[in-house]
Amino acid sequence: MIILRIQYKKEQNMKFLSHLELIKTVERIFRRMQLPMSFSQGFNPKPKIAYAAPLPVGVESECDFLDVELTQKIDVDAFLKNQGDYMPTGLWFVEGKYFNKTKSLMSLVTDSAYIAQIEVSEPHEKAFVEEQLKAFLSQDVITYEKKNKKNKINVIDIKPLIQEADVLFVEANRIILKVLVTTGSSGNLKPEQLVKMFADYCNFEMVPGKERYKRVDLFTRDEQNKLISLFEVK
Amino acid sequence: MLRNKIDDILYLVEKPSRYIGDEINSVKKTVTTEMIRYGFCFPDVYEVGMSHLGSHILYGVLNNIEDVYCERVYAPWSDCEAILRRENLPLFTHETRTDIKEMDILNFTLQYELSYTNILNMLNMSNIPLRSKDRSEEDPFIMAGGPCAYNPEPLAEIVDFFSLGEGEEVFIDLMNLYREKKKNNWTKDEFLRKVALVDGIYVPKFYEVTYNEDMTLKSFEPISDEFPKKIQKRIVEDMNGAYYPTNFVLPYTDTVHDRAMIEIFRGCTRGCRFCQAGMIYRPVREKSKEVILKSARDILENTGYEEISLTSLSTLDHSDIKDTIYQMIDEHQSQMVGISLPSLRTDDLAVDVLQEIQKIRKTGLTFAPEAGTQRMRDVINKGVTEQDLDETLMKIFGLGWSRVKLYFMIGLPTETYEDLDGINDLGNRSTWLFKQIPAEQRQGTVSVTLSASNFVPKPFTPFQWMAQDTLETFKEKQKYLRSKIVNKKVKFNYHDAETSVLEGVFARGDRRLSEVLIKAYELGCVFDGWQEFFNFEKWMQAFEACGIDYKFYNRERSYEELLPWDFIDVGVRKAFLIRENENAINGVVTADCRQQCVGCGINIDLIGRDC
Ligand code: SF4
Repeated sequence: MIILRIQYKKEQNMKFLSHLELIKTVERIFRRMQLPMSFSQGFNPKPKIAYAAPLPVGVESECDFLDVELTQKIDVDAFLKNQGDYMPTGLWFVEGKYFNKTKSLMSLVTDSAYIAQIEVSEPHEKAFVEEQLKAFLSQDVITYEKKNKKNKINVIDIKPLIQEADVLFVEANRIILKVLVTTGSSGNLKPEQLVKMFADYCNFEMVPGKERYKRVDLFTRDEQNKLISLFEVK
Repeated sequence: MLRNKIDDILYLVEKPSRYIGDEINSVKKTVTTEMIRYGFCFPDVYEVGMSHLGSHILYGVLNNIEDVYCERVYAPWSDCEAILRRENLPLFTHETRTDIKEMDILNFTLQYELSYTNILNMLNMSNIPLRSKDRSEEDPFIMAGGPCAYNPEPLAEIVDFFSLGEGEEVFIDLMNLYREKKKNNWTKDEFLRKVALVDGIYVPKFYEVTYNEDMTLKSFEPISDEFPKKIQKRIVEDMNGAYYPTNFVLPYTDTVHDRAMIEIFRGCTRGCRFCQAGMIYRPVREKSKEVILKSARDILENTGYEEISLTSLSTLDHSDIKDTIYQMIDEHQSQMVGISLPSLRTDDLAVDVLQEIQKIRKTGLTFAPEAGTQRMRDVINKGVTEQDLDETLMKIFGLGWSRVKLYFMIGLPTETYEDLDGINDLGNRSTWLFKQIPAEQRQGTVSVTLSASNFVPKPFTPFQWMAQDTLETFKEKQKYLRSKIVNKKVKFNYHDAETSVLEGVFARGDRRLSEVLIKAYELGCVFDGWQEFFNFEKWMQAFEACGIDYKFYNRERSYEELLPWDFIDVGVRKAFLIRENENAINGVVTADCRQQCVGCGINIDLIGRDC
């Protein structure tokens, strides 16, 4: 099998594409580029393209991955160099690497890093927000309640899912955080959830419609449980 | 800046991808003061507008003119509209996010009558006065075209000028004239006086209407001799040489028809008597196989579409269709590009072609018998026999298909309950036919959808004089069919009766409806084509407030009555329409004019040669 793993960016207007819209857009880019794609069998053949971690609408990404299965190898450098003619503004292929066989990208992903920006009703100093974050993180448990499908309330502790959290920048009402959270099948924390709980903890009132998120990194873990890039998978 | 403010609000709306612009192949130009700014407006949401082939053609034609920048405008969905209004932001163009008020010309395309209130809403969102007479020199010109423009009168008070017919030449003429206007600083009125003389352009304010006591038209005349008495539609003579886009703007959002659209011919010779398109787009003009195949190649290269739709009013009627399709499949098979056909004929050709097409992708099957009995089909001149349908369905089921959709109309002239029974019978017959196929040949379980729309008499058809069923009659007929159709394998869909009746009013309406339209809009009517918005009571209030009985417009007309669209010449003669109407009443079938000319007049009046 010839699998080309591609790291891509999804920024500017492209952040507004839903995952399904992105899938369609990428398929058509590959078709325009005349990539020799493999197709599924059946009445409605589809190219074999798999994604790492779908993003919600409105979230930008500097670091995302897809695997596309090809029928023959292409020159990756030329592919990257010539992409300009085919890409909509905001979508960009950063790097590509061949794999023979691989676990599905989706199952590989374990952690992702985000930058989160919020606006709050009152201005604050950076030191204060940092102090608050420290206190927030040093709680024994960080829980919220979630109703399941049967309307039963589950208590969820997100503490084990927060790998890192830092205050990057505070300017008056604007706060920018960087977080690293568990992502994937063995636990999943959305940065929105984390930010909301932190704001609630501090009694910050978030200005609605002013939250911005950008994914900046995506990781898997090796046998030693060390974070590695999805290109470094064996 | 407006651009950034709009970025902010897109975080708050449903499906923001429909507002972002920046699509592959969308046209980017540097805006200059010399430039003619043209807003091409589709009065419905993006997904619907982007599926409309004509808009893509026009977009290309206009942007090919160097000093013209044609940008697209769609009706924002209600959530987005509410936020724009709350934030005091205007309606904006897709390409540059400019307030539509800053355009020189706003050209609305009229695809269905029930989109008219959206035109008003779009103007209002940018504070452009609704009535032509209230707009100033600073406001853009409001122009309209498209199939509904063949009866422009209901929009006469709103639209400054209409373009009738097809083709790029009229737009080139128009832009030349507008360039003059800019250069010489003509007033709007000066420009309109000149544009009124361009072939295919109608400027309502230069025409005066008087009425009889019974509300019918008494006269319809130009206010001065300088303006033409008759306006003739423009046509493209040679489809092979005509401009056709190959760099279609590629939507991100799922649109209604999200595939490569290739128009393979224009016009139709079948002569179905209810069909406006079949009359107004005459004569038939085909593209050659070579031109079609080249279009397909170029479009796929520029868009990356995975499906091609061969469009026309009756695709399989193209004289070289089999070869064209087989060759197209051959060329693009390795890339898994599928082919779809809008609707199918009931004959062997259809079966052959389907068999070939399904090698790549299996598509749904749609047939349009239009009526349930032979008698009724003879009245409407739909040349489908029960035997054709039987044989075609048998073959298709035998090839492994199990789902079909059959389209019908209810409320057709002379319709009886027996004809309605015929619709149910065809449903039952289809499922019965399926069971006649040996079990090892058929696949799955059969499912038949009967879809019934309500007949709306349209201008320039043989039925333009006919009464439309009343609301009550439509509802009774629908109820009857609902109770009749009990077969579990048969699904029945039907259209809302109120919307069809209102469509009927505007389709054959006159100038007085401009007021009703504005009133209805003021009462809150928008997106009338969408069930979740349509509000018939408000429409009734609007009619009442204007002192107009809507039923006046659904009634039967005599051949002598002056019709609001009589001043337009589509090339098909009134005498032909009358003859066809008589044939309908007498159940006499008229042959497809590919075999033999049946004398509609277009050859003599419009093109001056044989078809
Ligand atoms: S002129 Fe004759 S051949 Fe041409 S469209 Fe009319 S009926 Fe058909």
